[in-house]
Amino acid sequence: MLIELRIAGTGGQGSVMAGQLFAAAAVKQGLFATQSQFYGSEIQGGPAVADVRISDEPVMFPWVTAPDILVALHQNALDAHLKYLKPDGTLIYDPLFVTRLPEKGGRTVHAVRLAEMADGLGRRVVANVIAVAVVARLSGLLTQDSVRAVVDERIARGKELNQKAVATGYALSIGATA
Amino acid sequence: MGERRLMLGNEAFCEGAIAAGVRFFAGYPITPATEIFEAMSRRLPGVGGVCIQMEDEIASIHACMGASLVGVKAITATSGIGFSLMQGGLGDAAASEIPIVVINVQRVGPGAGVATASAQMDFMQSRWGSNGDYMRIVLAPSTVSEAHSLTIKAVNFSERFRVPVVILTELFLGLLRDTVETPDPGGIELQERPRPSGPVDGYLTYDARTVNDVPPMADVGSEYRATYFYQNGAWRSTHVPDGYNADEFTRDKGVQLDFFIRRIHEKVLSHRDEVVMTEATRTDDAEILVVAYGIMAQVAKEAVHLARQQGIRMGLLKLTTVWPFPDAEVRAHAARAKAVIVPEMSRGQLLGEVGKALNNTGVPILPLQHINTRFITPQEIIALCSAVAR
Repeated sequence: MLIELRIAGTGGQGSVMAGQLFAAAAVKQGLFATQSQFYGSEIQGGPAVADVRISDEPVMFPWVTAPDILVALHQNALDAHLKYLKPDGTLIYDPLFVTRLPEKGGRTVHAVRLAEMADGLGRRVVANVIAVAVVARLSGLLTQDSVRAVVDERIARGKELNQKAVATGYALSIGATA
Repeated sequence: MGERRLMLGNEAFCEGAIAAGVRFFAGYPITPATEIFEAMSRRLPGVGGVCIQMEDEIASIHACMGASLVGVKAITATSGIGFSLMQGGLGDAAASEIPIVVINVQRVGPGAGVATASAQMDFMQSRWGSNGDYMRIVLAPSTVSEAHSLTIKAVNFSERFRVPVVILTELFLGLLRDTVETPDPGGIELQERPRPSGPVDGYLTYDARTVNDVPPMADVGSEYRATYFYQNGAWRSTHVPDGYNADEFTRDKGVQLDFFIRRIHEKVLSHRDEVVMTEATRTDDAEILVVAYGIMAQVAKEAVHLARQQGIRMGLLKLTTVWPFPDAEVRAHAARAKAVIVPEMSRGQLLGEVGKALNNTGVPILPLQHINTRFITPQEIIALCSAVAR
């Protein structure tokens, strides 16, 4: 088993933290994971991409080349990374930032209003944690308990809010969109 | 075994250093090595150590040398131009035989280069970056686990041979998180520099009888009177056994310098079998041999795995130690190969050294070089391999 996940957004959206949380939760469950990131020198606004490889055996080649799952948090991110998504892969995007979608092809596509759901909880910064929970549930890779545990371990501030974000992501009823 | 966890490469260097007994870090932040500094600043105070931010990299390496002189294991980490600035200190540490470890997390150069792009462009600088003539030990981890274990080895080598040791890594590894199982601290073998035990009177700072000797090193502040760097208020140059200059009228300068320069090579090279570490994967029947170091060796390992599934007889010689260069090992493993592939993220620095090792063997050497910040893929190695195997 080898699953490749890419979370692509712009600096400040928490893509890299989301990748770390996902990988750490996988390791907590006894799986093997690598996590890498690519970003520019900018603090905010530039491209920020987090990659995760998860396997039931040690991962030799550490980087993602053809994601099974792509989370696009920005139009630029979708435009840059959709070409790498596997032909039968899954795309999750936030329609607040991604408005132009290409042909769906054989892929599964989910629109998830991550930023607005985070706004509803009180702070947009937790959109990345909701994204982790959504992918965790959709992929069936991670239990809610392990996601809750790593969120608690790795995010120092706003523990209650972040746990709400996990619950929100898991509770979401997601159907594929056209 | 210890606990299995997700660990950042740069964090693994820190944890390895702490496990090796390092209790001093002086540094200056630079991408992509800063996480080592940050980790040290969190970890060292809790184990009775000291972590200082200095005004620059020159001050950083000299602060580490100072800590080492009083008997504390010291390490620093840098990248790019920071590594250039440390070269004078590395030379002085070699000349004064001060154990220190420098981690260079390679980024694109020359000069300021590209802070956020990975490279392997300091392969030659890691060996030859300072003036003078001496043997440097340079180790190159390929995985996050090895970042931990080789840092312990680096500290041990620096202590045992009283030499500066460089850990040559890349942004790609420093900023990679991977699943690691850190060893049980009780199972780690730690080495200490040789210290004097004889009478205080008559102690010589550099008491070496043969070119293979590592002289016992007195801690500054101990009862032994050691003469490092300064004598009578003046900067001392290359030393003789009592630590004084080799350029006094009464001494045979040429003979003493010859002995000294040979000794700062031979004290390492006489233990070449232990210092030079390589790892062979499927080389026994390999028609194509890949020679690589650092994270490119990990990529090549995946390439070997995939190539074998396609029936291509490919093998890998991973250079865990890059200096002293494993020339005999490269020659031995290439003996039956139809061709050797050298993937690297520089414009032929490793290639040149492999070429020297295979001089007159007639084995063709194929370069595979990325200087475009993107990693080499296993598929690119296999593509090159398939062309030769046909």
